Order: sequence, then C-alpha cells, then structure tokens
Amino acid sequence: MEITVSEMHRVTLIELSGRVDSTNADDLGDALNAQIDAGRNHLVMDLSRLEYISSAGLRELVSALKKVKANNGDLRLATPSERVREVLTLAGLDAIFQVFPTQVEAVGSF
Amino acid sequence: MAVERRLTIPGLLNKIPEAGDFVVQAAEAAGLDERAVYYCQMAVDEWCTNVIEHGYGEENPRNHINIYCQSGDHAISITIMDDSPPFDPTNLPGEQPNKLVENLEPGGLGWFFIRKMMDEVHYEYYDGHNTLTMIKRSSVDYAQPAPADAPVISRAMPNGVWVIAPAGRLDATGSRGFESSLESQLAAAHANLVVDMSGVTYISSGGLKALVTAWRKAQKLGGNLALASLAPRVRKVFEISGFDMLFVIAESVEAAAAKLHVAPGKS
Repeated sequence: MEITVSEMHRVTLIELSGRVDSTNADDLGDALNAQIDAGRNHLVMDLSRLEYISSAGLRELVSALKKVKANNGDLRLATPSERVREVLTLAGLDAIFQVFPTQVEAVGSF
Repeated sequence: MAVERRLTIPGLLNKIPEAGDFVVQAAEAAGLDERAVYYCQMAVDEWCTNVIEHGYGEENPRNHINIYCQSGDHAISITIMDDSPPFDPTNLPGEQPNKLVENLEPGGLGWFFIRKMMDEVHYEYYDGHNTLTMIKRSSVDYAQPAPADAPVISRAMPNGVWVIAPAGRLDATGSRGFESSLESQLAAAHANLVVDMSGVTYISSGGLKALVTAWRKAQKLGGNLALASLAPRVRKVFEISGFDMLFVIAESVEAAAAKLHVAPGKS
C-alpha cells in the first residue's frame, strides 16, 4: 500500500495504491487521522491504483467519513476499479460515499 | 476430476497474502472467471483475518491455519481449519460481543462479505477445529434460486404517513414484493413512508438497495422514509454497512412517523 497526499486549494487529495488489508489498514487509518487532526476535512481519495481493499480497509474509510462529516466535511471517492466498486456496493457503502468517475469531478465537487 | 491442494500458514496477519495467492492459483486452475477468483481471495483474507484477530486473538507463529482447496469444473471448494476456540460465525453480525469501533463490529463486515461473495458457506466445529467450507462457482453461469416473495402489508396513518410492513427475508430475490409495494406507494405520491421492520428476520445488500432507492425517490417527492422496530440482528447490518447514518431509525412505527414530520426531507 502507498498513500500520497497532495494539498490542493480547497481539498486534500489522497491517492491510495496497492493492497489494503488487515496488515496495513491501521496505517491507512493513521494517515487519514493525520489529515483530519490537521483540520483537513474536505478529502478526496483517488482509488484508481487501488488493487484490493478488504473490510479492514473499508472500516478505516467509514471511520474517517464519520469524523469528517462530524466536522461538516466529506470524504469522496474517485475512480475505483470495477472490483473495488463492487465491494463498496456489496457492503452498501456506495450509498454513504459519493463516488466520482474522475478525479477532477471529485475535486471539483467541493 | 477434482484436484486437491493444501497449504498451512502460521497465525500471522502478514502470512495471509500467501493464503490468498494459493487460493487464486487453485481458483484459476478450476477455471473460475476473474471476478469469482477475486471474491475467493477476499473471502479467504477475511476469514483468516477473523481467525487470527478474533479466534486466536493474537498473532503467534505457533498457531496455524490449514487451507484445502478442491478445484472442480468451474467451481472450487475451499476449506479452512484452525485450532482456536470454537467461534460460530453464524452468530455474526448479531451476537458478537461489544467490540464496536465506530459502530463497525470487527469481523462482522468480513463475514458479511464472505456470505455475499461465496455461493455456499458452511461452518462446523469438528474434532477440535473450526472448519469453514466455502464453495464458489464461476459467476458466469451463476443462477440464483428464487424463493417466494415476502408478504407485504401496507396501511395509512394520520398526517399522510404510510406504513409498509415486509416480513421474512429481504434479500435479492425475497425483496421483490417489498420493492413493488414501495414503488406503488411512491407512484401514488405517498412520500412519507415508515417501513415497519419488525417482521424482517434478515436483510442483505439487495434489501438495503431497495430501501435506498425508495428513500431517494421519497426525498425527491419532498418526503422521507423512516425505519421502525428493527430486530437487533437487522439493525447491526445497518450499523456495519453505515446505513444507520442515512436513515431515520426509530423504536416504533409511531416514533418513526413523528420523526418524519420533524425532519421531512431536504428537497
């Protein structure tokens, strides 16, 4: 798993790549918490290079979503692969996350 | 002709990817399509994670997980055995004790995925081993059985609130009757709906989807949809999937109807 964070004008873009599972979900949670603790609550996660995410990783995403929402922010997702998108749908998470077909649309949605 | 493969991994989270790779090879050898292979890998990841985190309760190289795969014709049987204390996943998501993190029960979501992704899942505690057997067929030929639709009862309350009471299992096939009664209500511009969930014993993502679709339509019509009287096990599904953030959920039909009028939608 690799996490790249770019600070943009109104949002923070987080690019997540590789595999997220129980061995590294904590690291993902820490990275998200670091952004939220720094007062960044408008988050876009680009998932185009995310190969795999298990429930351990999804829990971190939901947990972060709840925190940014509590701060009137949002965590929006962009460009998940077909499989990752299916997994989000299976878990019903497509209803609580806004998912965008391009990074530009996700960033522009804020 | 079935081909059997075996693998043993130590009870360490960072060894789970080896189990995943092993199952991918077996699933590909069985001729499963790419989606089915991916789901097998994820189901094995989720189960092994649960075994280590909740079964053994620690990472310890002296613990072991045994995995057997039987590859058949466009189908695979995966059996995973461990020596941790008996834990029956069919008690999830309802009865796992109190380890809630942000309303998400450890293990609960993983188990949810296993059930959704595999065609058959069977658990037993046999001869000192937790034994989970999962069968996955190629999703290309996958044909779902169609159980009878759940019976649905609708009634009107004062203030233009309509109550819909589905019963039984709300899953991909069992929720069709429910979906059509939701649609009829919305088509009749009955936009303030309470779904009385007291008779619902199980809800899958198919049932959740029907609710979300109806919720969106109700909001568009200037109304809202609230849920009442969820059984603990059903309520847990909402918490695990995060849907508890989306819906107004109340203890009774009356309380749900009252909440509808306090917060009548955002449109």
